[in-house]
Amino acid sequence: MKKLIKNPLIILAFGLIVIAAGSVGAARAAIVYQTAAERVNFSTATISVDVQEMVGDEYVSADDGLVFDSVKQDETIKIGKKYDERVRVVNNSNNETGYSEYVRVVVRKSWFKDGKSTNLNPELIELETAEGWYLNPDETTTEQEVYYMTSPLACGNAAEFITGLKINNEVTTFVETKPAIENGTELKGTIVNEYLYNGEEVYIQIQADAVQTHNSEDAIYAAWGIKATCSAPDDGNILTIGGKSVQ
Amino acid sequence: MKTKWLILVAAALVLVSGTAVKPAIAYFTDTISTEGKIELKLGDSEIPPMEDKVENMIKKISISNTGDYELLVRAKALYPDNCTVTLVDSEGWSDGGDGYYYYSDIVSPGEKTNQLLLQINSEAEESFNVIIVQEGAKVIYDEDGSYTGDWDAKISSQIDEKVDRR
Repeated sequence: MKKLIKNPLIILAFGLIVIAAGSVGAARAAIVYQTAAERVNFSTATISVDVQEMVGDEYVSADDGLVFDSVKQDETIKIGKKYDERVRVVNNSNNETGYSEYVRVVVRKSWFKDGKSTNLNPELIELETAEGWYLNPDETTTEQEVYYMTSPLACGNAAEFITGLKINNEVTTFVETKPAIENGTELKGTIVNEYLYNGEEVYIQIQADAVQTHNSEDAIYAAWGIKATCSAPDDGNILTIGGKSVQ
Repeated sequence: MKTKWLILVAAALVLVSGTAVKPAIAYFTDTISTEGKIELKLGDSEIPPMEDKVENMIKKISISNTGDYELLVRAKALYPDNCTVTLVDSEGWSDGGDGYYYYSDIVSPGEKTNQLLLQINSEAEESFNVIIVQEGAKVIYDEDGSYTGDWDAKISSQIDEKVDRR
């Protein structure tokens, strides 16, 4: 026995055998008969989150992309008008497990024309958010906003996130005025304003992340890499994010 | 030598136990991402030379929007001191009191205004010039959808026409 312990290779081999045996154990299950009363069913605990957009009078999953239904009521998006664009997040986890989850949403905005137009200002794309979300300034840039839902989202529940979309009037101030030219000749008395933002596409990406509410602070830190404090070890409200109060 | 073996044994045990512990530190997570685009059409704002004619000393003006975006338009008349110009009943037009006549409705691309009728009165014996300046401003909306004109970024043109009393 002493010889065996002294040889680390034997210990290592023994460990590997234990791990291998554990992984193949399921394959060796014998067919046995049991009554329903004796059987216990296990379902794998999972959590899930969905992003839904209001289209017409109902919310639909935005899996295939955002359609901006409220904007499409007009022929073109009208500058300065606040559209009733509505997006929500839903805890669509397995009902049997019934797990709540913490949710954060990362919004990325930019102007797009044959690729991202990095010379244009994404802040002119304005999104209005619902109550109950904390915008973390430490993770926010002109192009990205990170919101944390400060209370757990219960299984099967939905939380309003975006409640409005507006293009700031300032986009019309970036103008280059030129004489109008037709067939190579200048048209007398006619000028043309060329707008820098004309033909640009408003690009919005919404990413929703969910994490379990049990062992909350460690789970948030492990999943999202940010320190948070919560009012309870499980299912509590988020009190601080990155050391700052969310109230 | 004995210490060396013990270290190797300990390292082997750490390796084995570390492999076993790894699955236990995972947390339940999920993520989903979606995106969308909307094209912004600001286009060019254009108002070509206006339709303009004088009949019985009434100047009739209509302004067209040949650009790509909705406009609010206004016009003003420049005339000699011995002459007066007054607005005659013109649907959609009103005197703004600042020298301009304003058209109340938005002029969409491809559309034109109703006629602006200006009565010209003059004691002059000879012909004289009346200049009409037309201006257009891109329509800007408030959050509730009501609109105004961005007159700081207006476009304009003018037409200079001789009025002959004979």
